[in-house]
Amino acid sequence: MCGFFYETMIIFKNVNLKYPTGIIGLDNVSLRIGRGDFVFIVGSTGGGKSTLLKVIYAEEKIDSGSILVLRGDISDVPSRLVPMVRRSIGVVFQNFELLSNRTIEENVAFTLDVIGAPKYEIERKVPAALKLVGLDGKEKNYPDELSGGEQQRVSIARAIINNPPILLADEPTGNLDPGTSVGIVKLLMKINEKGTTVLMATHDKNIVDMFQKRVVQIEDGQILSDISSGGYQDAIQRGQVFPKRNTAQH
Amino acid sequence: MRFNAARFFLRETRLNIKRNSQSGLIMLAQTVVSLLILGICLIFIFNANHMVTNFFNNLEINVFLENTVDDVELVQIQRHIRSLEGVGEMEYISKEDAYLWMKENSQFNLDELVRENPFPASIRLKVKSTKSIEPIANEISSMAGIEEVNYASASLGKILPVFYFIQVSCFFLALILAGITMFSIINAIKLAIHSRRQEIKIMRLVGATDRFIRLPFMLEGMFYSFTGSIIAFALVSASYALVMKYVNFTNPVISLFVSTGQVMLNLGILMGVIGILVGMLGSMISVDKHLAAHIR
Repeated sequence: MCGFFYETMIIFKNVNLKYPTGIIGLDNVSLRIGRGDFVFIVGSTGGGKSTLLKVIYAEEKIDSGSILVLRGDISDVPSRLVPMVRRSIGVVFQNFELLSNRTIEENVAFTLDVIGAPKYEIERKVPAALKLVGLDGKEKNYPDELSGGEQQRVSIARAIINNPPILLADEPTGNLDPGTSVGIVKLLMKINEKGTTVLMATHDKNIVDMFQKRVVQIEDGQILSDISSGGYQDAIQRGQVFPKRNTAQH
Repeated sequence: MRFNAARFFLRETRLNIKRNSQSGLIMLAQTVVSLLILGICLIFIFNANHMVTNFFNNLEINVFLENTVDDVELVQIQRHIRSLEGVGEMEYISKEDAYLWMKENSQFNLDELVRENPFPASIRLKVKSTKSIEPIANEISSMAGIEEVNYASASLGKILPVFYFIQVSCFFLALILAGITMFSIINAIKLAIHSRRQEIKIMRLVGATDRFIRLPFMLEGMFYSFTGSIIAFALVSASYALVMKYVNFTNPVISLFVSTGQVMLNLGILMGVIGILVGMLGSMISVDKHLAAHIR
């Protein structure tokens, strides 16, 4: 095995996706994401940010091209093996997707429950995940009893409890105020520092500018720019001056 | 690992039943009604089977002898009968044996009712085919020392198609009813899935296999259909027992129908199995349909 494969977590090769409605989701996208990368995916609404994340966790099926996730071709994985792939990927959503009739503890444990993890593992990992996201002491609360920011922290705890090497966050700060948003991104950074590759779709310019990380701009399903570090405007300008148009970098 | 999964399934099933109690009760009521009718159909099938089997097992002629027949004449009569074509096994029943049999099989106390034995001696003989029963009976009737000859009339054979018709139509009706029960379970589980679609979505996202997602719903469907089959079985078998009590009272000797005990055993097993299968299949179809609606 060469080091190249160990370092690269996700590779898009000429990926195309067209929705049944005729709308183009991804248009000949090629992209490479390395281990431990923190990538902001930016672009306008409907530009393809969410689609880019969805194809990684096999929520959407691509029409052509290939996507290698953790050395496996996700576009070629039989349906019965998709759950195994998803166990290596944590997903965080804008609307948290928490189960309102379960406590915080139960929501976080749910990930381990559904993969049949032993009780001792659940009892060990749940408090640790809640502590990491700063929610220890709120185990018995229900989602409705928490603020938006806290709910998103629960969602993050649920996504990382299984120690996935990849964490996808689809507009995680979309429903939060600026102050809380910064807290959430800092939390994602903290997780990234532990070695987890993080892809975060966002249209929050301030957040992107503040953290100066790798930025990929996607519009109409095409990657317009990909800068290794910088702000929102840097990526937009790069896209206008040197349109990347579907060539892989990094 | 497996123990934890089982614990999760049971907990989820219990929670599902608790959360969906209203739609669950509707599903239970529909299952009881369908299985109730299905149980009645099965009883018809059992009895039709019983009657057909009885008919073929009892192609026999009862030859009642005059009281004046002595041992020598008896031997001659038996020899003559045996020489007839189409006669199978033969059994002589003395007056005393006939009295004892009636005493054992009657719910009345014969000793109090009669002063002397009124039952004649008889010869019971099996006949090999329905066609030969009538000529043999006529031949025996013409012999000396014979008081009466009883046999299942050949015309009884003509009602056999009716029994077959009852068997077949009840079988198809039972199939249709099993289908209706399954349909009601499919719909009820569909409601349960709808109310838990977010949970299913999350389960899929965090890597639960379809089998894992399906199982709590299958257990829920099986719970309702099995409970429904128990209730329906209790109602059907209690009603049958009541009817049989009346039939046995008015006709204490002839057992045309399947006994209550036999019906309870067969019906219990069949309805239980049908209940479990229908619940399992119904919920499986429902969940699979929902899961297939998503790409993966």
